[in-house]
Amino acid sequence: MASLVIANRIRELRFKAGEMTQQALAETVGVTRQTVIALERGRYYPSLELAFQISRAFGMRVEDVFLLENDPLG
Amino acid sequence: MSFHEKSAWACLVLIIGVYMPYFVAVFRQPMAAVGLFVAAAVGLAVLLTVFHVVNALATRTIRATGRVPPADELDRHIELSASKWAGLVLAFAVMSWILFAMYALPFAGVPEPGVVPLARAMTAIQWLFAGFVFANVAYYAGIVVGYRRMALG
Repeated sequence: MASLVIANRIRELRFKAGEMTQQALAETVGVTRQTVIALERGRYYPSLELAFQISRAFGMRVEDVFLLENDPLG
Repeated sequence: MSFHEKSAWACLVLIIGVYMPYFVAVFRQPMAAVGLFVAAAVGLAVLLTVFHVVNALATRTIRATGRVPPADELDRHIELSASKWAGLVLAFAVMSWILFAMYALPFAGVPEPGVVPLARAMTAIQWLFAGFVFANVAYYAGIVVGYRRMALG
């Protein structure tokens, strides 16, 4: 089974949200700035809890922030 | 560089800085190590205890200021991964030592002419001890590498 690739729009949404800094987002969701960097670079997939918190920080739904790139179900 | 990464760097540098001269000394002069071993073991235990106490207090104090957030899920993920590598290193070291001891160290009680020379026994003990130190080095190195790869790579 091919591994799924989860992309995200965090970087894009930060800039749309008044050029929010990585540090500001990190403080909002209660993680370190390094975690935000790792998420933006796609090196780390967040837990469901963190994914919801990030989505809530942007006022969006999880599926609008995190996207399945090679979704086998289309 | 995050606070957690700095802390891991400090532990790594301290362990290497303390143990490398120690092992160089005891492997060069295993017999001198009989006395040195006791003195060094006590000294190292005190030094590391003091370091860990100071480190824990400093960490708590710095976190109390609110400038450093508590460990989050990425920190825990990296620590878990480092622990896994350290466990592998420790297992390899202990298994190697056991195999070495089984085949190369005829201890007292085994029908051999004479028992293990003290120098050889001391060296063997030091290698076992070195295995634990290697595992610690692997743990902190794993954390540092994890941060480099995950956050900055």
